[in-house]
Amino acid sequence: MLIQSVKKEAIIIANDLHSLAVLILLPITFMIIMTLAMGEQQENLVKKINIAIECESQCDDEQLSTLAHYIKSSGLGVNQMDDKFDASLMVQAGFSDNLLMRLGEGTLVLDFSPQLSPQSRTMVVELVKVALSKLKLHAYMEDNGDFDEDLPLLEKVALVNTSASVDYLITQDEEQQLFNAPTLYSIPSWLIFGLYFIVLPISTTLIKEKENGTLLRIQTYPISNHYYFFNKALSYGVVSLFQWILLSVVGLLCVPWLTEQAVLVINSPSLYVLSGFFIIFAAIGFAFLLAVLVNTFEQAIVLGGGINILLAALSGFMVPIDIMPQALAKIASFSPMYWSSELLKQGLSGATFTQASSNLLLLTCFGSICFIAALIIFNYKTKRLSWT
Amino acid sequence: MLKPQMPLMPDMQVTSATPNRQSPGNTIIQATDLSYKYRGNEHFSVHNLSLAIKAGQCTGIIGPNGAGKSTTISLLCALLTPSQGEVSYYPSDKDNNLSLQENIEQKVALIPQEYAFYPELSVKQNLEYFISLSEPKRENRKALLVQSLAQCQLQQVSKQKAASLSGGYKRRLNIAIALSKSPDIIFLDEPTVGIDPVSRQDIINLLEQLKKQGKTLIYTSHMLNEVEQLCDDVILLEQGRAIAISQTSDDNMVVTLEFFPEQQNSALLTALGLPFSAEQTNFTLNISDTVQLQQVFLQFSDNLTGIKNIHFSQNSIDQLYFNSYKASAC
Repeated sequence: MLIQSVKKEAIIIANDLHSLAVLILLPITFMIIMTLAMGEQQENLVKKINIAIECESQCDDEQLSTLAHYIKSSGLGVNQMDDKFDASLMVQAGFSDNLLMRLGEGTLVLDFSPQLSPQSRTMVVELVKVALSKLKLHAYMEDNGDFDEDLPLLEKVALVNTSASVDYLITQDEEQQLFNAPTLYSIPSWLIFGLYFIVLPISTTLIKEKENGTLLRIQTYPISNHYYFFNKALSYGVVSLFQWILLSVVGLLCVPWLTEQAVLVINSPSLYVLSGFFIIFAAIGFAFLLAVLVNTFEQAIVLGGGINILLAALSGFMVPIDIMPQALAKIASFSPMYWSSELLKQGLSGATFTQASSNLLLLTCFGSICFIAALIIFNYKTKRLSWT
Repeated sequence: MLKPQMPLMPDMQVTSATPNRQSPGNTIIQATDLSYKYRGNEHFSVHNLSLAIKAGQCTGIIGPNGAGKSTTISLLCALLTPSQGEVSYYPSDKDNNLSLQENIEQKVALIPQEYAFYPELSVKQNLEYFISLSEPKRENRKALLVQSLAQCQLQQVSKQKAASLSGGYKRRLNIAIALSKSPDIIFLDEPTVGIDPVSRQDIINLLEQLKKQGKTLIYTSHMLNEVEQLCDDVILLEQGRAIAISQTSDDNMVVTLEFFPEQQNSALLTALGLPFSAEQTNFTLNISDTVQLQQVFLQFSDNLTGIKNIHFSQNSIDQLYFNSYKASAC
């Protein structure tokens, strides 16, 4: 019966373009888009931002030119006010005279175009601050006579840039560099997102079976509701396992190749494989719970799809948790999608079973509770079926 | 792609996978004082209903919408638990040591009005799946598949996706799935709805063949002519009660007496106070009550030659339906 059941569910899903899109295409698309978005180097992002520098009155032209060079050396583009720009820096009276005296409060006004995102604005502010620090160092060295008198401005700028460089002070553990890969965040997240979307095919099948009398017909067969339910769950488990393998192969091999990122290595293969089973258990349990709660296709799409998208957002799939407000980040730690993606990341990054045990336990408890609740509701609803 | 033309089925083969376990004519399902009230409803959907379904016969359950047909069938197949009364399957639960549910699982198949199968699967895959639910042995499954396909003449479309079948073939698949369970009792809900007359007749022929095979059919339909054609017994329900049972019972017989148009005959009939129609050449009297019939014969005992003709007939299902419905409304 199980083989026939798996075959049936697989054929139904294979014939349903919407299910295929949701289970396979959607997560792969998100993997690619988010890897590309997260993989964009900061220097490339900065290059696209242009800043215009304008003097309101009584400016030291050489000082302004020096500032422009330091801003350029931070990667930002410098344009004239007449050209297209994303941010403008207005230098007001008193700036030049007070640069070395900790005076001149508010003599620089930084404005942004409405199109510039909050993240880019923050980045521009920080880069302008670095440029101003270098300008201050430049002025100090000039004042001290550290530059040769006939040294051209560009060489002075290069000298200050070299003096101010701190890159050599910082080094990163080789193992830790794995976490720099954007794929480590985007692949597990969107793989999990796809797995939890199994709720849609499960819901639609259950609703169809109820509406067309198949479930009623099955009531006269020598199989209990429990057996039928677990057979169905197991069938979808097999379908999800296939989906997990496919998305893992695409995510770990194809997406890095397409997005020119380093290929992800599974550092703890046994944990990665085991985590697949636990995640599928939780995802199928959750999907069945939602599927038995809904009564119509509309409810399935709104409730099933909506809750999944909400959970994905809360779990840091769309906005990384570390830049979320603290309250939201705390909520994320209660999300099964978050536990699932963390578990996959642990498998990829080489965590031990002990380190992963809390996520494994949480997923087991969550999946079990969902399955029990779903079975009770399924039984209750099935007993209320009658010939119509 | 053109759908294959459905062949006529004059020679449709119907074979029984398992011998019927109950002799034809004996009671196979007995419902006693059955009542059921849905939660939140003030009135009983089925009230004190007692009926006996005979083995090997086709029993029609008819009635207007809301009469309690669906609830009755749900109670008979244990889909609902009665608020009062009981349903028994024979050989009795005690005799075969089976619970009601086990009896139903072994003997009953449902054919809902909807296409209760998976449209994405082929005919064969649908049958394979449903057979796997009831038959654990692999070798038996194959035999059941071949037999079900043959019974409903679905062999030539066996690889076709169910969604792409014509209405007639879909109805046949709906029936084939039920037959693949080798049931003794089949509950059918309007199995011919939405198909052309030729396909409809094919389905009726198939059901008649099943009857001949000794299968017990319980048939609900609004197509009264089909019920009349197929059913041996009819239960007419109204507001959860059986207001007329059986089209073959004596109660449903009509005796039409034709009298010569003589003054004396007219006077005798008028004296009885029975309504009769006076045609140009005859007086005609329809009697379905045996007491009344006796009175007439007593009245005419001295003048039996005044009776020109005696004709026995049965009320049609239509008449039964409308007469009973009117009587109930009064």
